[in-house]
Amino acid sequence: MASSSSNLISLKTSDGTVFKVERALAKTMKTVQAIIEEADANIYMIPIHNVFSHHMDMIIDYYKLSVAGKSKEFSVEKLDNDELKDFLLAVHYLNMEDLFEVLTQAVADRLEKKSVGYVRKYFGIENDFTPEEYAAIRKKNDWAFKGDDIEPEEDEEKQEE
Amino acid sequence: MGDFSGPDLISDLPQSIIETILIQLPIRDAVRTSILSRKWRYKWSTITQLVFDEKCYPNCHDREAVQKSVVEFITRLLFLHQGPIHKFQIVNTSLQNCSAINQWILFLSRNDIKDLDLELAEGGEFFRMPSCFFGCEKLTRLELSRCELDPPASFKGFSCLKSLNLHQVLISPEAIESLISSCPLLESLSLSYFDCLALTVCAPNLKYLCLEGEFKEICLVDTPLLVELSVAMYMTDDVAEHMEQSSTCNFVKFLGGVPNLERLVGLIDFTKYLSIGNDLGRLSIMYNNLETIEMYQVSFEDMKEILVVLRLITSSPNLKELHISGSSNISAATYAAGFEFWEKECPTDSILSQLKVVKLTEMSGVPHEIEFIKFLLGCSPALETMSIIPSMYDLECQLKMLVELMKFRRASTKAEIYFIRGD
Repeated sequence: MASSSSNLISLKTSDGTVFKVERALAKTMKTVQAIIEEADANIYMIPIHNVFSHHMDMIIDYYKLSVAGKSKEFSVEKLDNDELKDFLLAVHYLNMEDLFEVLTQAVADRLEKKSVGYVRKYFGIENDFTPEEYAAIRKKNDWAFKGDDIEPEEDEEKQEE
Repeated sequence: MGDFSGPDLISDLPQSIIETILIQLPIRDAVRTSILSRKWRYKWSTITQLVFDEKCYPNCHDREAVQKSVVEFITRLLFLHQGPIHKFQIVNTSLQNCSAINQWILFLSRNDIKDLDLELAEGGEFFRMPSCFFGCEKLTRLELSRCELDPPASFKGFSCLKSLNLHQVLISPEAIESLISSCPLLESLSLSYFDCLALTVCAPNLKYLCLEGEFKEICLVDTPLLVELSVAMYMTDDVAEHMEQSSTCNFVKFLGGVPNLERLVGLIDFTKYLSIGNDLGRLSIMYNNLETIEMYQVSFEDMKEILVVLRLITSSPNLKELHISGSSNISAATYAAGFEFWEKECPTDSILSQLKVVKLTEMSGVPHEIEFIKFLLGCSPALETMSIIPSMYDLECQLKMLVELMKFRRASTKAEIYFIRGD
C-alpha cells in the first residue's frame, strides 16, 4: 500500500499515537532523518521510542513558532522539573539541535544559583562522598564558593544519608 | 527517605550533553557541580568554553578585592582544567591589567584556543599580549579591548582567523596591515578607536568591515567579497586640506573594488572623505547588490558631498532603503550658489526602481536639501514611505519647508510622506 504522500512522514510515539509531520520537521530530527535515509524509498511508519505524544505536541509547537520566526516565544515554564527532564531526554534521543539547546538552557536557568542539595534532588543524584572526602573537596574548591549569594548548603542533613 | 525524585537521570548522560548544560550555566555554578557526587567531581573540568562575565563577581564594592578575587578564581580554575579550551572570554568585568593574564594566555596557547575575547576595564594600563599569544595557531575569532599588540618579526599571521575585532588596541599601522593581510580566511574585521592611521586593507575573503576612528587615509585593495561596510571616520581639517592637493580620487580608492556590497553605512566625515579627489564623471562600477545606504552628517552646502551621495544612489539599481542625515550650516547653505548643478549634473534619466523606504533626518530645510528631496520623489516609482525629520524648531521654517515639498511631483502613487516634528 502506498505510504502517506511524499510530504508527510508518519511517526509513532511510545504511547501508540501516530503523528503525520511535514518532511521539513522530520529533517530537524537527525535520528529520524538517519532512519529515512537508511531505509529504502518508502518507509511507512517510523517508531520513536522514549517519545510520548505530549512531547510531540510541544515539538510541533516549537517547530511552528520557529518557522514563523518566533522561536523566542517558546516556553517550557509550565513544565515541572520531571517533565522538563523527560522532554530533554526525548529531544536528545531525536537529536534535534536547536530545541536541545533551548531545553538545556532552560535546565541551566533552573539550576543557576541553587544549592548543591537542591541540584542533587532535582536530578536524583546520590551523594556518595564520605564526610571526610566531602569536606576535603569543599575546602580544595573553596575558591569557587567564595562570595556567592546562593541558597545555603544543606550539608548536614545530606551527610546523614 | 523518599526525597529523591527517582533514579539518577543525568550522571550517566554522555559528556556532550552534560557539557552543553554546564556551558549554559554561569561558570561558578558549573564548577560547583564538583561536589555533587563522585561521578561529578571532574565533569566541569573538561568543558571547552569558559566565559567570565559580570556573574562571576562577588558582591563587593572594594575594587581591589574584586580584582584579586576574580584573578584568583580564573587562575585556580585554569590550573584544575583538563583538556582543550576552545573558547575563553572575559567580558563585562572590571578586570584590569595584571601579570596573571600572561600565564592565562600561555596556558590557552597550549590548549588549542580558537575563540579569544579579552576585554579589560577602563582605568588600568593596556595589557601587552605576550609573544606566546602569536603562537595560537588555531585561533578563529579574536576580540580585544585595551590591549597592546606588537607581533614579533617571525609572526606569519593566524591562518585560521575569521573574525577580528580590536577596540582601543595599540598597534602600529604596519603591524595592523600586516596582520590583516596575513590572515587569509578573514571574513569580519572591526577596528574602533583607531587614530591617525593610513590603512590599506588587503583581505580577499573579507565580507564585513567596520571602522571607527581618526583616519588619514583608507584604501581597500583586494576586498572583492565585501558585503557590509560601516565607516565612522574623523578627519581633522589639516588632513582634509592636505588631501585636497593630491590628485587621487578617494571614492574610487575606497569603493572602487567592492562590487558585491549590500549595505553601506557612513558616519561623521565619511562623505567628506569620499568627496575629495578628482571629479568622477560617470562611475564605471555598479553596485548591483547594494540595498541599504545610510550616510550621516552629509553636508548639503558642499556640492561635492551631494555629488558623492548622488553617484552612490544612481549606481545602485537595486537600492531599497536610504537614510540620509544632514549637518548643514544654515546660513552658509541658504546662500549657496550652484542650482545649475541640479540641472546639469543631476542625472535626469535615472530611475530608482526598487527604492521603497527613505528616511531623512537633521534636515534644516536648505535649498539643496529641498532639491535632493525633489530628485528622490521624482525618480522612485516604487517608493512606499519617506520620513522627514527637521532639525529646526522654528515653526515658520518648518512650514516653509513643507510648502516646498508639497509642490513636488511624485513618481510613486503609493508614497506616504511623514513630516515628523519632535514635540
